[in-house]
Amino acid sequence: MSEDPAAAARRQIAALGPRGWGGRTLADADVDALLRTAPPEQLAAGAVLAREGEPADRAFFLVAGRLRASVALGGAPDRTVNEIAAGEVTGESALFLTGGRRTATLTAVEPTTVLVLRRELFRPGAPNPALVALESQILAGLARRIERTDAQIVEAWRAASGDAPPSRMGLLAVLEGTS
Amino acid sequence: MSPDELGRHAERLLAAHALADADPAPLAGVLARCAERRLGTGQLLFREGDPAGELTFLLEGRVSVMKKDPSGADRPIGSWFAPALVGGLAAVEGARRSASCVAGAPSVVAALPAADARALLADPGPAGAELRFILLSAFTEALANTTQHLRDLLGESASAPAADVGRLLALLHGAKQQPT
Repeated sequence: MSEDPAAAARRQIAALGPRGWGGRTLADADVDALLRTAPPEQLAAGAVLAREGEPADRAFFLVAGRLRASVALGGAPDRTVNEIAAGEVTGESALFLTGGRRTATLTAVEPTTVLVLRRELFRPGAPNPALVALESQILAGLARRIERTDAQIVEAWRAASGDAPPSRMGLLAVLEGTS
Repeated sequence: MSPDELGRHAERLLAAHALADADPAPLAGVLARCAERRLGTGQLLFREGDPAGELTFLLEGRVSVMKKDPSGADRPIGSWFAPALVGGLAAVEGARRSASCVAGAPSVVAALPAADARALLADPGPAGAELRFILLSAFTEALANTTQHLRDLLGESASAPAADVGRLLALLHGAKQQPT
């Protein structure tokens, strides 16, 4: 008999330990409360979770498995710009921007479980401690991406001669920094 | 600053980050804990490379954002206009200023020590929630705009795109570019 998805997700979250919550330890009741509002979704290897260009209205907390983020650039073959590991959140721009679209396609690299995070959960109100931990984790991840992107723009600027624009390769590196 | 003024500034900051319907009282309470500074035109707010010791709310006025170019000279990349959160990376432990900021007009800022900001961000209460949302919204918008601009540039042709570093940096820092 197959395991109940919520029970499986609870077990996978327990296996993540504090790294799923930015180093914090959460009570089981807080995790259960999160699972009631953010249902788990299971994906087989190769399944597409979200497609580039689609309206974006939810994010995903990866509790097991691995996702690949890829983009299509001007008719060229899809380019992998990031891999998302268990314990990470992806697609978070959908939570804090309205009217956005997916900037990358997310594909399961192996059997994968995500919790689906809807925008309404993140409006200031009476948040679950698990959501506060996820917000803090998202914030730290965004800050790292901004710092990395800033460094890569500066690097591309340095690599270009004089006031010449950065090379395409330089810009691709910057794009990977933002992803 | 009077409680009414703090409430008005909190309302404007929340509205600028898609929280027009949120209660301004918690954020007004945060602003009340900040040090208020009045800057004259040309006065330095912070310098690129310095430790980011404060989270700064620009309540009135405008600040110019400058970034060192490869020769080491400060190059203007854009401006922040009130109401805005300036230098949000201070919320991250050990962060350094990624750009310099100078008042481009008489301005009023409210500065919260970075350690206080980090404690507030970990707080599940309404003030922590509003501050987290503002930062998350600002960071997300900056990255989304930068990514979109990069994708536009890279999708245009396979040849070297005419990228403008200043525009990329302005988008990443959430600054508006002045018309040239």
